[in-house]
Amino acid sequence: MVSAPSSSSAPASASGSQGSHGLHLPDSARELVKILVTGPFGVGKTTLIDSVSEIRPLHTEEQLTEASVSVDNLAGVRDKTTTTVAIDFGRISLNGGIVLYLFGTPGQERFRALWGDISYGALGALVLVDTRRIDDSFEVLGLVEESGLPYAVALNTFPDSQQYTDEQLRTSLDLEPDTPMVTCDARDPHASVDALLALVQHLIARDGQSPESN
Amino acid sequence: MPTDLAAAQRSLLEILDGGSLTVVETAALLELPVSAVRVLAAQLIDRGLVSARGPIPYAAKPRPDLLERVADGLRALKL
Repeated sequence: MVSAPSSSSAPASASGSQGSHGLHLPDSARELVKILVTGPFGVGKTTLIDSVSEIRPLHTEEQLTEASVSVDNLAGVRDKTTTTVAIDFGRISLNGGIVLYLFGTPGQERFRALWGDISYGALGALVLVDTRRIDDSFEVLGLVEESGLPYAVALNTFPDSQQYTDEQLRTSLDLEPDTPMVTCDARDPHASVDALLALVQHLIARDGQSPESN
Repeated sequence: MPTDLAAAQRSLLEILDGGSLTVVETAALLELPVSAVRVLAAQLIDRGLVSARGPIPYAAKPRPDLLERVADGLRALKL
C-alpha cells in the first residue's frame, strides 16, 4: 500500500477522499483480504463485482506465457505465445479496517497458469454458474478444486433459465454436500453480498472443523 | 511537488493525491504493470515523498476471528 502526504496548498485529505480518479483507501484500512469471483465466460463475474464495489471497475493486465506446439514447425519445437488477460477487480471497505478485494478470475482451462499466482492468499472463491449452460462450469470447477481454494457456488439466473431442483443442480455440478449453493442475481448488490456471505460462512465452518493452527 | 520528477513519478503522486492505494489499484489507474509501479514507488519512497506499508502477510490459514470480522462486515453492508 502506498500513501502520499497531501500537497501544502490543499487541506489534509480526509480518509476515503475521492480523488479525481476514484476512491482512496480509508485511513482505517488495516487488513487486505481477497476473494476470487470466477466462472465461465460471460456468466456475470464483472457484473457481480460491479454491484458491490465501491470503486469504479478497474483491471490489471496479467501476462500469460504458454508453450504451444506450432503445427507448421516440422521439428516439433515448442513455441511460446504470450497472451494478456485483463483481470477485473473491485473493492469493498468493511467495518473494522478490513478491505476486501474481489478479483474476477477467468475459469477457462487455458488460463490455468494464472491460478497459481492469483489464488495465493485468497480466502476462497465464489464460482458463478449459469444454469442454462451447466456444462461450461466443469472447467472452472476443476481449476478451483485443483487450486485447493474453498469455494461456494452462486447460480446466476436468467429469464430463460430452466427450473432445476437444488438436488438436480448439486448432482450435475458434482458438489460436495457442504459446498454452499445459492441463487444470486449478479446485478443485485444485496444478493451479491449474500453470496459472498455464504462463502465466508462456509470458510468459518471449515476452519472450525480442523483443529490445527497455521 | 518537487520540480525534478519524471512524468511517471508525478503521475503516481497525483493519483495518490494525499491518500492511500494498493499497488495493484495504482497500476490499474495508471495503466502500468505492477512491477513498474513498484519501481516508481520505491524511487519516491527514497525521496520521502511516498510512504509504503508492506503487504499484509497472508496467513496460511486465516484466523477464525478474521473470517468472522469479514462476515460481520458483509452483514453490516446490508443494513
